[in-house]
Amino acid sequence: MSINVLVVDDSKITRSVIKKTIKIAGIDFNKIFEAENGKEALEVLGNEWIDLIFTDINMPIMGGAEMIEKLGDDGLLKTIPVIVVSTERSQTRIEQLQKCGVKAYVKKPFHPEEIKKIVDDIIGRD
Amino acid sequence: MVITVNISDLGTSNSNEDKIITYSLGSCVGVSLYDPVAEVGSLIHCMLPLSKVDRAKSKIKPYMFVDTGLQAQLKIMYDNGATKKNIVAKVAGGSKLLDKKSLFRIGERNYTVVRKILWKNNILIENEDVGGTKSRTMYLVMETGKTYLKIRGEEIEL
Amino acid sequence: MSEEMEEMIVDAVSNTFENLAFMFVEEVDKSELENTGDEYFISKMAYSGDNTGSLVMATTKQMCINLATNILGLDDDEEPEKSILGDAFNEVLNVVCGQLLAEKYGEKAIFDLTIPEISSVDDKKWNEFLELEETIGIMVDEFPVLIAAYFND
Repeated sequence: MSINVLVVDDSKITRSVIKKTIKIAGIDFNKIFEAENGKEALEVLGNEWIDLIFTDINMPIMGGAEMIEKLGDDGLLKTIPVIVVSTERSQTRIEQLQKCGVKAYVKKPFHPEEIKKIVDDIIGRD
Repeated sequence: MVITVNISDLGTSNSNEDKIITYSLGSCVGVSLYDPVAEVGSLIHCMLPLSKVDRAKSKIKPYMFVDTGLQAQLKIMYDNGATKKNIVAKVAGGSKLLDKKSLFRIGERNYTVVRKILWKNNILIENEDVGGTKSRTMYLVMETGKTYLKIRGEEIEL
Repeated sequence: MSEEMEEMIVDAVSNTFENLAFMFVEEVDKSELENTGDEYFISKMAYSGDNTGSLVMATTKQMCINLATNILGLDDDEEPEKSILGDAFNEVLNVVCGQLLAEKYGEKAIFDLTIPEISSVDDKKWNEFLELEETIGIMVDEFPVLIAAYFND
């Protein structure tokens, strides 16, 4: 089943790397949406069906942690798997995110193969 | 048939009867590429990361360097009917062995340039066994398209 | 700055360039990096929380073109969009900062990072930054890069 993916990062180049990885990894996707911050991401989520979210933490206007918290307040949105891709290394913060239901955490700099493996594990293969 | 790939060398096959093998990957890096649809495979054994250290040599021995070698290996795969989206890439080697010139990071740099060239070619690494201090033997069995390593006498599928 | 601290900074920068952009770092004498005659970018960010401080990096426009090309995995004859060059360098600074703080203060420490800000500068500003005592000079794939870390410990 084709999935819709949302990539949230204020860094355009990081969004491009994640998009390229999804495209070349053989993941069955329908569309990839982008957002520069948590607020934009929530707007996309209000208008589109999203199956998987990649998000950074440190972003202007609304960061990833706040966005994830807001997702948790919505009965439907909280079921969407979230993968955090961030420079954040604080164990305390990472554990907090995992308690909010984050499925996986990828530290920057990352290898695209790590992204592929995590998506395969979360979404599974047909 | 067994096709032996020496250091700074490349072996290619489109026969199900072949096995392509390379020995003693220390700081050197081995890359096996296999396209299960075109049924073509290859194995390269590169010694150094970048050809700019000796351009003249890279013209005579392109497979010595990861940047020229891997590009050439990919071209040969494409010329034999392989496509980027079908190629399965596996990487081994890049150990932290102290070489004679004390260039400690040759192994790591070899691996980095492999990643660079494959990323440029829209190919992700399917599996890898790199780093550490061990010496590896690597071989590609054309009949199955599987790649194996032999490390300290133990055989594992990569 | 202690040698140990300088090594920690160079390691964080090296690890970032290699893993993010497949580019290799070489330490050089700063005096070799004067007046390269290109356009320059300077990127700055700060951190607060358990400790405070800031990080500054500078390089040439040409380095940023190579950087973006490598990160995106473009062919040699493809040029990245101009708008992405500064973003690429900002992202390098962002990643360096994350690694450096974890290395220096450990993974239990908590920090808030500002968003990196980039600006174009001229030869004069480049040389001024180069001449600061805490500024470290390196070559990244033969392009000059300057880094300075300010720790308010």
